[in-house]
Amino acid sequence: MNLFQRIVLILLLVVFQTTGYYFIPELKNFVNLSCSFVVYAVLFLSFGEGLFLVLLLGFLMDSITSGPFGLYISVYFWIVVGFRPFVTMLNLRNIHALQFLTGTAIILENAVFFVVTSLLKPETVLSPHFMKGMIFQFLWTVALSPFLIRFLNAMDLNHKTKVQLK
Amino acid sequence: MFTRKMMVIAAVFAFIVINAIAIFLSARHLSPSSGFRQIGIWVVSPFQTILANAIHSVESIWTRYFFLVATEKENEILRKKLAECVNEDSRCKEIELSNARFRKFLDFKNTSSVSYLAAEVIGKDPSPWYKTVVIDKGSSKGVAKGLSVIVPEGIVGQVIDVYENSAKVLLISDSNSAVDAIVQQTRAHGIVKGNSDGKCILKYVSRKEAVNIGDTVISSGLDSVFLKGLQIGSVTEIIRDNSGIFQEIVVSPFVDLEKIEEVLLVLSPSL
Repeated sequence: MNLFQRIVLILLLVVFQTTGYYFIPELKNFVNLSCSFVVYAVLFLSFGEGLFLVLLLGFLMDSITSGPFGLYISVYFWIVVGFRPFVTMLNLRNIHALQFLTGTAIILENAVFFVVTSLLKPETVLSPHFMKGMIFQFLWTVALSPFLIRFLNAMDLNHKTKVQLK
Repeated sequence: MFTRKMMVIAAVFAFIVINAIAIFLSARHLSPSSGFRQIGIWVVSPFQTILANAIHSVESIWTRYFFLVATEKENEILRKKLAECVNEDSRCKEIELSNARFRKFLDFKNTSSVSYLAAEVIGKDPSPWYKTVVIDKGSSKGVAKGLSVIVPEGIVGQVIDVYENSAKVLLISDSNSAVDAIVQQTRAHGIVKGNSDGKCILKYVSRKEAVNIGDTVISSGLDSVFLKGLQIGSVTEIIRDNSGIFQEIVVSPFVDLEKIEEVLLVLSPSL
């Protein structure tokens, strides 16, 4: 995939996560696509391109959410900056590593949202229903995101091969 | 004096602090974030509309043509009629109670003068921490910040952000939402606030007020946002602590806020 295709992918991902998930009740609490994309960007894209795409993703997510503007941008930025050294050092690419990274990304995202929400509204209480939804999303993401990330990487490799053949 | 490592740590720490300050300024609406949001929504909302229409079309084909066409249509009509009847029933009860209390004053406000604008939901908040939906009508159709949003079954929420061709609606189940309300049967007054489990809590109701499970909670009209008498939900739980002057009442909304597809915006409320 080239940069333009990746931008289109981000747009589709945001639209599907906000509209598709809403109208298809079976997808409620399904895979956190944006966190999966962030992990893919950390692992398989150059730092510059990955950061640009992740900030774009955060910007679009921030535009739709009613939370404070900049929250998604910040979370994704810090995930990229924080994960990058470990990924480079440890060369994490196997399925379990992908599961660990996406799981950590989701936990970090929700932890930041929890802290910000609690600070802004001290009476915030996490109901069992809400926690259940979050756990389901966590499990779905940990289970399926490695395949999604590998699929995106396979598309990249396929695109590179085609370009080389030309 | 300072090693390179210390400088990097200090820079990261400073950046985190600046980041945190920026977020809290944004949360308090002290930074000009609405302009950025406008750009993001402008890019995303047309695609949301396309996808929402595509899903509706597929749903429509599936339900209308592959399943009993006539039954489906009849069912749809009956559901609409039922929703109208439920709403009418609530309104009549409200008028009846008002009648009894104010026999001398029969010049009730005529709510039929209210004009509505129908809109379709095209997306939801990507974060489970906030409960908002995006609708496909914006300032170009006369939508303004603060308008109330309803469906025949009751209150949905309030417009909090308006863009040219879309708007954001804060659902009554969001913790930032507040609706001035009364219990229809006992006239106990309180504020309905959102809860993280999708239900609502009727707060600030005096412990002395009698409230029963199954009672209907309606809007009081005192908040100047929602018309009086609109249904909110039914009482499902009453929490009375040993101490404190208020009781907390759990209200289950009549509207299934997870599945709203079309809504009505109240354009000219005669509050």
